[in-house]
Amino acid sequence: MKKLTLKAFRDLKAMKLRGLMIVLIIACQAAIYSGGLCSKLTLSRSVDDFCNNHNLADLQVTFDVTTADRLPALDDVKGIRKVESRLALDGSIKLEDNTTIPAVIIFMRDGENPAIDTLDIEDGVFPSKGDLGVVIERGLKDKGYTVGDKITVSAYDFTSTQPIVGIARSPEFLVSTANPEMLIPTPGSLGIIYAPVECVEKEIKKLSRVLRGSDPVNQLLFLYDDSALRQARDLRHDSDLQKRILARLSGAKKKLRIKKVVSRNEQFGIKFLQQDLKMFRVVVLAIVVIFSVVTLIVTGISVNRVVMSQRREIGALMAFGYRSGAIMKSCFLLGFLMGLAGGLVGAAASPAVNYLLAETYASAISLPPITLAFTAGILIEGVVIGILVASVAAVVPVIKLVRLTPVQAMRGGTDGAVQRVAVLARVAGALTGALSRSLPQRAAARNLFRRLKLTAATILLIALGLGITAGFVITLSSVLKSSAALLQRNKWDMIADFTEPQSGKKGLALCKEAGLVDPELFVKGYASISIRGRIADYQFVGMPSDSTLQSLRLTEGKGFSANDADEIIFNASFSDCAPPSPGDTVVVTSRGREHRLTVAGLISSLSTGQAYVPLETARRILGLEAECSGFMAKLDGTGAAGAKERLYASDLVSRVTVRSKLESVIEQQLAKATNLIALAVVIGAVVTLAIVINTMSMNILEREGEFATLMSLGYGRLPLARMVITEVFAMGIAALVLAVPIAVGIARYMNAELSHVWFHIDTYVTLKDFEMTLLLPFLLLPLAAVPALRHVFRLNIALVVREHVIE
Amino acid sequence: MCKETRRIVQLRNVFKSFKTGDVVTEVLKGVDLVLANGEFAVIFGPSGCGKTTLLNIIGALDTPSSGSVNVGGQELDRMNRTQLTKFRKDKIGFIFQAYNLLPTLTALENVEAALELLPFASRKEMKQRALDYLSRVELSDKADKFPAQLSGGEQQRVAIARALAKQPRLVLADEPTGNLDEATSERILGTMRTLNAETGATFAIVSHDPNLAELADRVVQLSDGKIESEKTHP
Repeated sequence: MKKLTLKAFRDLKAMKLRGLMIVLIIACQAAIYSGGLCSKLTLSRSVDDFCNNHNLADLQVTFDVTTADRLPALDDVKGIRKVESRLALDGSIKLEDNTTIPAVIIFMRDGENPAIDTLDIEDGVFPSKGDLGVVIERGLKDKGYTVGDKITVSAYDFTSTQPIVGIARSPEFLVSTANPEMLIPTPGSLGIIYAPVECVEKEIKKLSRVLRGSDPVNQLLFLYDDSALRQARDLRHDSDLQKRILARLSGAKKKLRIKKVVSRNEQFGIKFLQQDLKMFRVVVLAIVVIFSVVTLIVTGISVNRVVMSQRREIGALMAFGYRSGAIMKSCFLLGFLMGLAGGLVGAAASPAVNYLLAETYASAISLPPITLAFTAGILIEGVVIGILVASVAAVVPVIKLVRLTPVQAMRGGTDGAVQRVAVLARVAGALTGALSRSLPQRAAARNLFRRLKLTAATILLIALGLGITAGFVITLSSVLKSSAALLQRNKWDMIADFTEPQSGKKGLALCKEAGLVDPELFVKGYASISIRGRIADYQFVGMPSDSTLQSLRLTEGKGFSANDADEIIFNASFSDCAPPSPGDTVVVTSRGREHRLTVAGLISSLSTGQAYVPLETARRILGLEAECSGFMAKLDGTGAAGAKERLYASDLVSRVTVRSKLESVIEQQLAKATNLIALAVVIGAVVTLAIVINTMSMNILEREGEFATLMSLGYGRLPLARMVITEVFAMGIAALVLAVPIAVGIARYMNAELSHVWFHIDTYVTLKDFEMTLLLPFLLLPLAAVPALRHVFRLNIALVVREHVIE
Repeated sequence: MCKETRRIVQLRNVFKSFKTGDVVTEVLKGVDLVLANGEFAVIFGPSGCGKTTLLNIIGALDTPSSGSVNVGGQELDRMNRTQLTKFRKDKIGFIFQAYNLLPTLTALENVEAALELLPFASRKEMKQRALDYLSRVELSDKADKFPAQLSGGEQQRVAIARALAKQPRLVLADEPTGNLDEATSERILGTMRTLNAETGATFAIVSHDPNLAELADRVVQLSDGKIESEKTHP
């Protein structure tokens, strides 16, 4: 083996603690990079796998209850792999504390687990044919239900109490909420019950008689074959098959009155997860970018210092006649080896990071157990980045050195730089001399200026480390405060949604009966909207143009000019395509008729993809003249619970949303979801610790000769420690000041990214955010110098003085 | 042999100054020096007079501010970096005052590090030459020791073996016995003188050791950047 090659290997081995720290920092970068990017894949794949393995419906069509024999034939529709019909009724569950929650009861036939939207039984059993007993969706566990308990459900005109025989997870309700317009899952707010038809046999027979047919159904579920699936999953195109299915259903002799059409991509759970995974991707990518940049800067500086500490050897090699290329190759090899070692360790550790990030998020939103996924490409990228940076950092200083004469190389540079630094050092020393009589402290101040680049680099690195953690904490609190601010804009206390549109008079009367005041009616429905040639289904909400209860947070444009204006306002946050701009014209298609509306503005809200229009305009478009889909109102001073009870007592009401409950649920959900950012804070703290220890060690170990000389003069441990701690605190103060704008910058960047895929997030900065993230680490900084100081206190003075010069 | 080919080193009006900020320090002030082929020359002078700088310029480790430097018939001041590197590899053996051994290579490997640059028929041949020179400086038994395991004198002897193993035409030594005791110094200098006689290599040694004057063919006295006197011993 060539001597320079051998030297590179031996140098790496001789570096010990310094080498280990650099390798660990590179490993951190590789692990966070690979683990972070693969965690997105883990979540996506875990969700996809669960949904595919449990046959999540590609299309769900809900219509008025009819009988199975009235359903049109669909066997000849090309592209359908499987179709199932079922009866799913909106109802309610009476809890043990006598409150009720909304419910969906899905009836199963013949003791079979449905072939579409198949249940994954987590606990208990699936009831066999003839058994009485229901399966509950796992969200109801939050309400305290377990296998063996009894549960009372009401729907249509029946109430039934049944034993719980099983608890299941369904791909249809992967994340569930009583209010799908608010994009926040609220486990347990909507009860899902799977009941054998036999449980309500009598009621089913009665219903069949009313319908004059047998086997009542109100939903069709479809699975597509592969070719149709590819088209349906491609969001750029609307599904032809969906159009053909709806045309068949609408064109049937005994026409179905279709109430709702939900494709797989529009399904609440999938939609929430898609949006949430966007947010996850943004957060994780930001975490990866921030950590990668910081660790790579640290790696570059550290490897650079290692090579520069060998300048006398490099000068000697030049004196022997070694060519620049051979010397650079040797240094490159040193960097390469460190990069490779760190990269491989990082790659090995990346599954842990992958798991941590994915599991933190998955458990926060109660996803099924995750299956780790990774791609070799990303792992290799993580390794290669570490190798590249370390190798380049090793070669760059050598390029400069080999351009010098061997003597200049041994000295480490030309003379001008030494002189400039000496002047600054003297000035600093004079300044601190005025402040302190202590020689160690004056020496410490001068030392900082003697190695200006290293001091500046150290301050920057510490500032970056502190700033990351603080930046994430600011982001955390900004998310919580922004969501609270958004909710504060709404003045309603309760929203009631009706099962069917009702006359305005009836709606108002119901509101009064429930003890609510200041009602505002609204209408809701679905319509297709064509925006720049792209057609998408939107939920339409028609509200009073002068509403005092619901204030839309406009990010662009303005509010409605009149209650019947042909205007529309979009929630831009959740559209799958680029949102329109104020002034654009969009075409709304409903009930076979087109309506041209002008975009008045764009909003940011917690709602899903919704479009708002003035009340009368919505009534006109949806064909609901003088009708309403529900109302929002304020409490008159009586408790919300009473009003809610009274509303649910009416058959007309399908869902009641209480604002105070929603606030706490949103806070809870946000707090859980922001565990991810909290995890980033923890990772940041660990990385910061590694960086600070490495940097302090670098600073101290390179000055062994200086410390050995001071010890030979009689300086004991205490004065030396004071000198080092003075330097540490001086750099720490500078780093603290620099960390503040870094933290705010990081938070603003993250909030801006999150605002693209979530609701608008303003940056709120408070002193409290900095207490734990800046002040505490600052006070602990001297601890980072302890390992290197211990090494110095144990030095063999004679050996070190013989080998080292003070520079 | 003509006069020019007898001269291995020829310096004409060489100046060297160092600039530190606004201060310019002239270290060499118009040095003219000639060393003959095979000479054993010693350069004396007080501290700071420019001895080491002079040696560095002769050995192409540094460049003069002005003047001409001719070593082995080559004008160093006209050479580019690559040519200077080749020159150092082929023609010069340098012994540093601070040894400058590579700390993570053994004594044998340090010597081999210099030999690897030269064409050898085989690695075995290269290794044998390294062992030969270590044996000449009486360190064959320490071939596998690292510099940290050797005394100052032993390290200096390794450095000498490293410089001489290349069998250069010109050996430049900067205070080779500066850190050694008298007995070791005598041995080292004796070895160098023997090798000078055996190989015919020219030696230029910077030293404070007065004993060297008796061994030298030429004694150059440098003072305040200029050559004060030159004496040739027959």
